[in-house]
Amino acid sequence: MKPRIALSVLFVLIAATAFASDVATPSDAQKSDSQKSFDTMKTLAGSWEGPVTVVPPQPEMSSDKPLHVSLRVTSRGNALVHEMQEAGTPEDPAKYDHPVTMLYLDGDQLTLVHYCDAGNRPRMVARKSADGKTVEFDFADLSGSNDYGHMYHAVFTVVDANHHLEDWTYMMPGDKPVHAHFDLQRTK
Amino acid sequence: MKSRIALSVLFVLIAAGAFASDATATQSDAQKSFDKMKTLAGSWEGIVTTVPQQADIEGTLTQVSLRVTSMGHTLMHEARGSKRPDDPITMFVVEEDRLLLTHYCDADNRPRMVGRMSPDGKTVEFDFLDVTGNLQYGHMQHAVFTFLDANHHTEDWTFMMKDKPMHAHFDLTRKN
Repeated sequence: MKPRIALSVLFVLIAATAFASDVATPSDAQKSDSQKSFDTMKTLAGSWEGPVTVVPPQPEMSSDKPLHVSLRVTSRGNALVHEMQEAGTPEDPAKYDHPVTMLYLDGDQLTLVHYCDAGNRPRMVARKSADGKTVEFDFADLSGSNDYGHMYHAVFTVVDANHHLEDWTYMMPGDKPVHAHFDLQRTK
Repeated sequence: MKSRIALSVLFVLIAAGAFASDATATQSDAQKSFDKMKTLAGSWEGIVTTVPQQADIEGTLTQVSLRVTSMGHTLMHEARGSKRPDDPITMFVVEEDRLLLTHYCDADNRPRMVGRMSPDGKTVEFDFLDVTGNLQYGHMQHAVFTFLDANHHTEDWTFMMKDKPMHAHFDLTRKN
């Protein structure tokens, strides 16, 4: 196990196959519901693009600009990183910075932390998926400022390998929910 | 502020500059430290040295990227070696007047650390706060970022395997 620790220390992963062999991989039957949901989420790894629908409509939001979403498996499979920004904008953090959501298993809970543009970090926990295609996250707690509201709820629906939906609910001050629906097609 | 809320909801940031104007005039020490860390935004590359020496990785070339995200509220740090695509991620935020990092570790846990900048402004050092997740393989315990100049910084990370510390030093040069 020593090499695994060394790589964790150094963030340098040299010999993936060496580690795969010394970690017991549970079969599908042995996996917890949370692990299964996490695996479902990992199938979304890739780049996605699609339109956004908002309820109630937000006049400031131009509806003709699609959204770009990327999902990446990181940390030796222990985290999934979700990022989004307006499609067609270059990845220039000085001009086009964007929220990042980290998804991971915490014990037996599939958890996400949303690093929000609003300056806070809501944490949400996934429910058990009834059909294996929908993963729904409920609000657990919030750190950071709540002056401008916070993200409150999220649902990921896998339609097929190249199509998925995301439904995010943002709770504005005064507990007014705003719902954003993303209809995303895989671009790679 | 209505438009700010809408953009936050939609994750689409059209006018980031419009929000810069509502920043408070007086910065906390945590915010100053965070701003210092943000100067590292960019792509970096360098060699790793280890104590005790880890023969399989000593001298390995590592790429590090740091990106400001979430409308300036988060700094995202990623590091990867040359032979494998996945990588640990560290997120830096200011929370309750503390500069915090959360390290999403390959070891399947998430230590948090609290940072403070040295009086001379040349280092930001992070001390362990707490950890969640699997502790079977130990956890990251400490980190120091040292600012040498605009194109050169070092990172010193200490991983605690039970009571045994292991130290990794990254000597990084800016690529862009």
